[in-house]
Amino acid sequence: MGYDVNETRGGPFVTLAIEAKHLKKTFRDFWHRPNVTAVKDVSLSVRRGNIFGLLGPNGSGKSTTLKMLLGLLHPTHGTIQILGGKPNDHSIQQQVGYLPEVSTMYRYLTATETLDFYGSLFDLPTHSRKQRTQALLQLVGLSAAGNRPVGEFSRGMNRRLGLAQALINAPDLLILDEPTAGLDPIGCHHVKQILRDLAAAGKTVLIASHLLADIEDICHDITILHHGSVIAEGQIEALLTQDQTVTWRCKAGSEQQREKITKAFRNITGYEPTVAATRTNLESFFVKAVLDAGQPEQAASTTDQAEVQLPDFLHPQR
Amino acid sequence: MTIRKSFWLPLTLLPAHEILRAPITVLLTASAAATTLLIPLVIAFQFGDTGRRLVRDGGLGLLLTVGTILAAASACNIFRRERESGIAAMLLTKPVSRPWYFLSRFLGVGLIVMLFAAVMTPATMLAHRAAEAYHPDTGFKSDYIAALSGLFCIPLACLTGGWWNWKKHVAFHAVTLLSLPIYLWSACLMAGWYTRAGTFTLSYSPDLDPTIILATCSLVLVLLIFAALALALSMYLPPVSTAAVCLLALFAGFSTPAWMLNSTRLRPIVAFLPNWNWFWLTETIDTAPHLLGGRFLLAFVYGLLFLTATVIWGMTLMKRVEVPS
Repeated sequence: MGYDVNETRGGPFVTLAIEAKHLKKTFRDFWHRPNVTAVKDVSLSVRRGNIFGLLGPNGSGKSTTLKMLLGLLHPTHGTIQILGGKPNDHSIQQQVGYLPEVSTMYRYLTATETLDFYGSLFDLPTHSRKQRTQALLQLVGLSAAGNRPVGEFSRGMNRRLGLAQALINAPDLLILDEPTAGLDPIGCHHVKQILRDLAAAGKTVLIASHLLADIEDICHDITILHHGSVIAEGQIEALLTQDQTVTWRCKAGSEQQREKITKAFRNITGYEPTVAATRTNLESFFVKAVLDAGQPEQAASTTDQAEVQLPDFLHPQR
Repeated sequence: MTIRKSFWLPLTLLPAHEILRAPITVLLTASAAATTLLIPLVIAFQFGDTGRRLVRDGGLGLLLTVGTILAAASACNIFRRERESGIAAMLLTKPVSRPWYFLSRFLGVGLIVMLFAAVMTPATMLAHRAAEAYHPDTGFKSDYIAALSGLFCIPLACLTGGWWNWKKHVAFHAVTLLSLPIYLWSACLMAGWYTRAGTFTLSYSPDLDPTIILATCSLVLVLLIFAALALALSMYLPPVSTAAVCLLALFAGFSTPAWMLNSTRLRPIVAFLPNWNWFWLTETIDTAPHLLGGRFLLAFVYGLLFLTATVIWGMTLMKRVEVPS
């Protein structure tokens, strides 16, 4: 494991936020007989300040791997280092934020009380908890719902609150299991923007998801799991780049101009080029359409979200 | 294990609040209190002074059986609910020590058990007073006012719950359950200002049996042991199996055969089963009231030992338990 010359939180800056080697997890039945091997052989190296995607179909072992990394499950075999320590070490847990796949909070607490409660688990002083709670509610677009009981929240609101609780301790490492599941496209867009901002602020983010578009949008590195084993890994740009093909972009021009260019291209290279109009993706189109519609009552939180910046406490350098 | 004072209270109160809000809690508590208060009305004019003992033992019996169900059911459900909702995963990835997590859940259930006892104790005392008894002035007579004042507390508590829910949006079940012991103890206090014949008197004489409080405290220990046992078992067993083991422990502890108790080989195994008879003090109240203090102290120490052992066992199990979902 390498060390950077930079110092953070009084310790050496460990280049790898997560290093897991040859993880294996076999679940046992009541009689302790091996029942199912959810993870067969998974090794992960997550660099600091990166957004790392753990991909795979349902039942591929993503959540099990995350839970081993967090110390919620004990690996049958393999070693794990998180931020240079063991997952169950309290000093490490102080620097980790986690959003589980299902994150239903205590139904009778309000959103503000929920965040205050999770803040109290980190021994944060009262005034700091209050400040962070308000800042995080604003960040995830729940300011207006701060005093509503969580039991009345929709699934999407619960996910946003779950993300807020994962950020209450200003973690260096954020582990998120399906963070955009249940969110509408604007919510997805907003959460992805928050994650990009967090990475820009030096936080490491590990996301497990099967929503490929989300991962493609924001992740730097990915690992793909299938039946508990790694089947592909690396930087997303390198994995998705097709070496034999390039794309040129230019203004559409007239039909005659396009014909001329195509002909010239064919003469020079000997290949038939594909000419197609450039498209935006549906998510960008949807978000733009809703923001442009500008319904003040319903879109209040949405427009707020588009402008919200990361609160100060999530910037370690400030 | 590190305990930081900033979060021990919220961590403990949350499961208690969760159980408090469950409709089954208020339903069980209110029906147990109502049944206790109805016993004297059912058996009036039939048992004489023996009826009074039946009423007291009936009330304490209900405290034990319904309390066991309440403690075991609440404890069984805490882990299941918190696992399924992701709360356990969120809490255990925070710097919260696992043994303390177990302890806080146990204390939460313990608060509910004590609230249940706080309802059942005045209900039993009122029912005991209401039961037919001999008095030089009135002869054998039942005190209907005591029973009815106790019964009146239940709809009053429901009305209070309804009013708070309408006015302040506070959960109906929680307010009803919290106001019930206040009304019942108030009814006990007011019982001093009327005679068994129902006439108002200035000389305050509640005619309530205080030994019932001691008997209740003793049984609360049993309920706490069950809560700890159910909580520890529920980490590995499904709720139905946990409840079955708890019931088995209840029966085994009451009816350990003499040959097992006398066997030198089986004695170490039997020692793991708490003998619930130690906690049933009514026999001493009736036959040797002067020994009651000593018997209670013995039961208290005995119960505390079992309770401590069960809680430590649970905390140790919690260190290794996994949170798969």
